[in-house]
Amino acid sequence: MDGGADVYLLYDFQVLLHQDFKSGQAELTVDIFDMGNVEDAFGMYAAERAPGYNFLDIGIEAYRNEGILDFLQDRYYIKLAGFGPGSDDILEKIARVLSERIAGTRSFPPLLEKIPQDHRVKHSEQFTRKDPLGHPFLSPAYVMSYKQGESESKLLISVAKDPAEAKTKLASLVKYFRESGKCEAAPNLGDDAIQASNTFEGHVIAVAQGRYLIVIVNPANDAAALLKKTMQDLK
Amino acid sequence: MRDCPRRTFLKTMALGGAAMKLGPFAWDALAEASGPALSIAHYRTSPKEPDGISEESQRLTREAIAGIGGMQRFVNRGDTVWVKPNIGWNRRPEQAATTNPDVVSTVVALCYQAGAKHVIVSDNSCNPAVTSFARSGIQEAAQKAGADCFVMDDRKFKSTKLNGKVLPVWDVYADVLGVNKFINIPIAKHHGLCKATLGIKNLMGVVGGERNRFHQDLGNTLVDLAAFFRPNLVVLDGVRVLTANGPTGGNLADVQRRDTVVAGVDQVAVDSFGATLLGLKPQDIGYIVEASNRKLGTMDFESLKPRRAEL
Repeated sequence: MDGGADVYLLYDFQVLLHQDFKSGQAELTVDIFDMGNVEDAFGMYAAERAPGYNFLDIGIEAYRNEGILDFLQDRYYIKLAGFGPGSDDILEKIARVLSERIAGTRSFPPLLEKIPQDHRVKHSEQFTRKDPLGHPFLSPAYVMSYKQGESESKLLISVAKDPAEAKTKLASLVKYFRESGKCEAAPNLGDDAIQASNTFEGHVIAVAQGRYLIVIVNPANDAAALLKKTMQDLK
Repeated sequence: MRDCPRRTFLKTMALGGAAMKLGPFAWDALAEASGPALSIAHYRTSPKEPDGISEESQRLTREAIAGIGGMQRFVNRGDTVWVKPNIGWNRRPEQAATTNPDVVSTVVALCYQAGAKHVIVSDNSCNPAVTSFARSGIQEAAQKAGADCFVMDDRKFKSTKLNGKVLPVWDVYADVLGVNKFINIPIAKHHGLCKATLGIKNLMGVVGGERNRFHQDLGNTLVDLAAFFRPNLVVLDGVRVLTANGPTGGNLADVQRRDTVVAGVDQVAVDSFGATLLGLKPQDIGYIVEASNRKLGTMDFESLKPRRAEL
């Protein structure tokens, strides 16, 4: 897959199973990527999806368009492509058969189920292994959008090994904003919480909670509530 | 050179000297140097039906090449021409992972009209070649236009001195080096690794070996190819562009219409304009910057005063 492979390698790609099928004039290719674990499989799947796609209920989640159907299940990212008359009808049938046979988990990574759902932009969640928001110290992180009215914020949850590392990530964020803009304590948001801004990221609020660094970029009016709810959910 | 004014004589000698430094297809560098460097053709409407898109693609290609002086500026009677589209992927034309077959067939037809004896269309596909050639529609379209369109033979890759910055030697498809003219026909696409794949990246399709190694330093490896091959003409397919999940694509939701075809002799300028079709600046793309730094062309495509046509 040429240059497309590097993203898969970033998500710890293990093995690919490829198979071609033919039925009458319809041809089908099936690629099953074993990504090693649910989190990386989700990361790879989410890297290729967009909120506006046509989603289906297969596996953990699926989307389709003319000639393609991709879905996520357990530690696998499955991509089907169909060509020729009748192939589109077969795609969904084959996907469901595969889903049944693959079995395994049909749930998103647990962290996504824990954090606030209200006002979250559906299908905007991503798991970024490398340089979330352009900062290596935030790796790895879950990133998703929240929208209320016209205002859209980004919630980033950087995952650390332990609470000490989460605090180190926060310190790096503070250093970055002090050097590039402004940063000050925000005790109303929590212990060691900060509010910061620069011309590049705009406004940001952040706090370390256990082994997570929680960051909201472009905080809306209810951002404090979102931050506190996220802290609560991640305890 | 009798009755040749001194100024013309000196200019011709200078151009001839420059031609000595150019790549394997530089036979008529003097002809290439005389005429517009860049031509951009755009369709005012965006037809939805296949016949309408086909007609649009053909008209845009003819107009873009006419705007740069016509194919006769590049192809001489008796020439053997290698036409290099992107046939890398097992994808349908509307998925915009491979070059529009109507752009390809129009270029082939124009080559023959200009007097070419033999036109070859081929690519070193990333997906299985037989299905990629068929599914892209390029094999059928090219053959209908009279081209010799074949899947490359692995045995024909030969170690070739590129004298590049990072590629001193690499396997090149031997038949490519035996032709008179080389026309590069990329499609503008997003690329997960280098942000965009355009003309310079498309040159990977005439080399073999472990091409995955190029990814360790795309900024330099691709420019080494560009410096070696220096196509006589680049025709960029921007009718449909792949705006996400490239280079493989597949999802029609990632395809957008730009209804544009560009023809140019400056491969850096063509790629620089191509970047804008994807919402990028040429400075965003490492290999374009490197190619510009190595003086293979200019990122400032506007400085070439491109000829623009609206159809």
